[in-house]
Amino acid sequence: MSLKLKALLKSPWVFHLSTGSCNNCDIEILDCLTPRFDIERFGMLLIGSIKHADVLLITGSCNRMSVERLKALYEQVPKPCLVIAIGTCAGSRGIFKDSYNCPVPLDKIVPVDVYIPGCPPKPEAMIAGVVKLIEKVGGAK
Amino acid sequence: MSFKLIVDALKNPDGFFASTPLSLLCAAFAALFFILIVIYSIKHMKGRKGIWRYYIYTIATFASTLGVLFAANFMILLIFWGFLGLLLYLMIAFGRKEGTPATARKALIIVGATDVLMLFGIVLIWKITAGSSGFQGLLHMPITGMGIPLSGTASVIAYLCFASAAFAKAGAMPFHTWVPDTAENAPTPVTAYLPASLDKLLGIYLLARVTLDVFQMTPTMNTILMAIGSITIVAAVMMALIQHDLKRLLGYHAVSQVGYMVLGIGTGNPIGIAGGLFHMFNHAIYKSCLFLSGGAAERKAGTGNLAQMGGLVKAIPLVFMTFLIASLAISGVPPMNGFASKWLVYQGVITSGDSLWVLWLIAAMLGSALTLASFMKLIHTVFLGQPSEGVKKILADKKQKGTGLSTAIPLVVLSALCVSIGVFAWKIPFGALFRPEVSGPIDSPGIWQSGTATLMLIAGLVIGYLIYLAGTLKKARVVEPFVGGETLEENPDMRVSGVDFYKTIMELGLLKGIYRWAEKKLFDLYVVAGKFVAGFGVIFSFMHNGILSRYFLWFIIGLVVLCIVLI
Amino acid sequence: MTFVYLLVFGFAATAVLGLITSWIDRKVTARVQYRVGPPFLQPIIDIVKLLGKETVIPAGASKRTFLIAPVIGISGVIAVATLLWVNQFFSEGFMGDWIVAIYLLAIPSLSIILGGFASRNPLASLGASREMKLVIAYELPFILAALVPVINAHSIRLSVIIDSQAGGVFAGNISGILALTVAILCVQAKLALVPFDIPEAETEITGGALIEYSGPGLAIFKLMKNMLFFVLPFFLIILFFGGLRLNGINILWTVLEYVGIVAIITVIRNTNPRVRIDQAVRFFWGPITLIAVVAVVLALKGL
Repeated sequence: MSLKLKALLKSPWVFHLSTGSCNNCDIEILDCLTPRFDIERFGMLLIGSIKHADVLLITGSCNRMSVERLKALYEQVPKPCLVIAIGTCAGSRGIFKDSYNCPVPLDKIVPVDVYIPGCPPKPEAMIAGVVKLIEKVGGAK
Repeated sequence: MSFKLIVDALKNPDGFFASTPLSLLCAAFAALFFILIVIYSIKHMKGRKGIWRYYIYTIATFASTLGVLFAANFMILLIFWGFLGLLLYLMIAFGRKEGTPATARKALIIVGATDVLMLFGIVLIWKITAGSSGFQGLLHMPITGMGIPLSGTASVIAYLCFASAAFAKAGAMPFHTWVPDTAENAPTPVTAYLPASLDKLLGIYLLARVTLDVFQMTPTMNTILMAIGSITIVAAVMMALIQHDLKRLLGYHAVSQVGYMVLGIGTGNPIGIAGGLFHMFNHAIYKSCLFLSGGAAERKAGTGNLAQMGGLVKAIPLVFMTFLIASLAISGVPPMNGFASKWLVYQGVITSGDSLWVLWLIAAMLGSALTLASFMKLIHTVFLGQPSEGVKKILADKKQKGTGLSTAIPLVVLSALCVSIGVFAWKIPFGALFRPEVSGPIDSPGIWQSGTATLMLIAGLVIGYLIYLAGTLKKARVVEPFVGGETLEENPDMRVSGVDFYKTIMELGLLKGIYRWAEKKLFDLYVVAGKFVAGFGVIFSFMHNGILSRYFLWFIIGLVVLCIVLI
Repeated sequence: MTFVYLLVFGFAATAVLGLITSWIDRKVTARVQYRVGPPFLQPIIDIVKLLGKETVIPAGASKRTFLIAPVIGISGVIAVATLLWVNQFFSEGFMGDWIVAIYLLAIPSLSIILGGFASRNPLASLGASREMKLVIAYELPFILAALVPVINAHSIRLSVIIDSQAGGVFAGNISGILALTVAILCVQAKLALVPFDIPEAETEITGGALIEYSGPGLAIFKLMKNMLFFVLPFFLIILFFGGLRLNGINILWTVLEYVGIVAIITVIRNTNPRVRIDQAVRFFWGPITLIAVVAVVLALKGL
């Protein structure tokens, strides 16, 4: 495993991107920062600009307005970058599967590395998902 | 009479003309600016009416400047000084803006009025020193080595008369108001030539000459000079912060920087005086560079209104570079030349022993920070930031990109001087160059180690570059800026022009009221004096209203007064 | 010789100490919030990671200015760090290096502003303009506070300021305490930490002036900020505590002083909300300048 990748996995800065979610998942993401879970232990930071991001946390069901913006934003992330789909909506469009407003599932727009199901997923589930992602990426190379 | 005097002087220069190291240096700089301005004017002034007159005025200005610099006689000095005021008027009139005539008149009146004060000062000196030698004595009074003590009222008034002439020429407060107006309304080369370089050189040269050669300064007068300098620095730069016109903003900086020179000369010790004079040369370099760069940007954008500029760096990268270097120099960022001279001024202030030195030092250092602030605003609004609609059209047109040779040469020369004088400042022998104004030794604290500091900064740059090399610079990718997934092209209202960056400061408590007064021109001596004169007019028209009974009233009052006086 | 000092102290030592300081800051923050906090090597890992990331340049930006801005910033910090180290251990500064240090300390802010302006992002422009306003706000009290040791030592040579505190540190006087208080608040603003993190304001303008930086550019900026986090407290220690004293029991004192200043900054940052820019300007030009003026007057009276 190269030094670059090792450093990336030890300091993944997450950017939080909502594509039309109901805000429940977003609130649960913020929970991960609280003293009880404290993801900074793993070097994770929630950052404001997508240009600083290593990991995109995507929530929501990707409505029509979001699709092109999501494409544009994925272009803007400096690579290498990982994508985590958080919540049932992001994973499978959930109950909005047949909605006129959600034409494409998330993984048809951008490549997704990990799906964390739940409506909303628990912070523990998110942390477990991230750890699995780190193991997957770290183990693969 | 004046022509006869000049002819006499030219026939027999002894006693009329003399050169000192300082005046030679000033003349060399004047020649440099003369050449650069002529080169710049080739393109900038092309196609104006009566362009040959413009070049004649330029040459005449240069000649008069030499006359002032080498004059060894008060009358010769005054004559050339007066020519310069007139030439300033004529050259401003080449502007094509709405306010040009009024501006030219304002400059002429302020400079002319202070010329009269100077004549008064000369007569006073003649009275003090050689009152008995008749009118011929007045005509042949030498400048050098008088050393009149500032003890009596007459000598103080004479000094103040000379100082106000120097202040008006250099643009220090309270005679500064013609400088921003000229900057806004005169053609760019004229502004760069006269208020930015030659008038500064002459004004500060005269101030140094009079302060150090003709009179013997007292601590009180030094304190007054330092106070004027400090107020000029801070007040002018505060006004510059909120301007909306590119060249007017630069004009206020031209005023603000004079403060450092006056402050330096006011310290009364060799270091400070050397700093003030050194700052004069540095200022002439970076200020004319700024005006010429700003003029090139204005010409490219077709407007001087800051709100309609922006993003010009893509069209004229060279001008951006020179403007950036000159603005770092004027803000005194090490290792540029502005820092070297400001450093000397600070040293002078600290060692001056004045009881209020902390105040002057703070004013000078804060002035630097504020200068930096207002130049950052300019750099954003003119060159960086997002292009305005007008600039977008220019950027789309390939033909309009680039800088012409006649514009580029002066800019490159001046900005190269900014850097090289700054880097090699510690090698400059101030004692030899600035004689006789700087007489004492300035070796004890010396000049700051610009060489060492530059090496440190260069090593820092190399380290930074190495870090870049360790990274992934080569595979850089160009993407849209991040504004939450929107695109800037589709949202023109997302453009931040930067004109109102410092509105927050303008609306701050006490400052709000001061700025409002300044907008009403309550600090403009010209406007206030104008109102004063107009007030006289009201009184006179009240007295002469053509009604017989009122004339009778004056008649009777006059009689009564006459009776009282006679009895 | 200067180059040796530069490479050994100016860069390497400052960088290491700066990264450690940054870790202390993050760890204390975490402890204040009852969290565990990041591991010790986290700051250096962040930098290494950023170096490995791709560089993206915003379209339509002034590419050269955008890329050179971080380098200018770090060179300023390296220069001022070298100046301080040389004064600390070799007494080899030059006359008036106090002025030079204060001017060089403005270069990092300048580079952030230039970088923000060059990135053609409206949010970055706003952030950079706030940074500029913050600079003019804190510069006045900062200069005043830094003048107090100069008045006390009758010199603007840093090495003389250090030497003249051999008998008793300036922080022991009333004027020194007042000036130190003011200076710490100014350092807070210089580092753009809460409550003066207005230029970066992650929740509002998403990183401000640094919004467009990624990869090595951001790494250099982060490193610069970390180094500044060491250099500024170090500057205060030189001015008010007579420099780092590394003999006998004094080592303990030095470490205590240093960690104390950093801890105060961190605690302020963790117990305050962000202020608006006009509030910050009002704060610095109002009460803080007043305190600084009082300190200067007291120092002139010899207190």
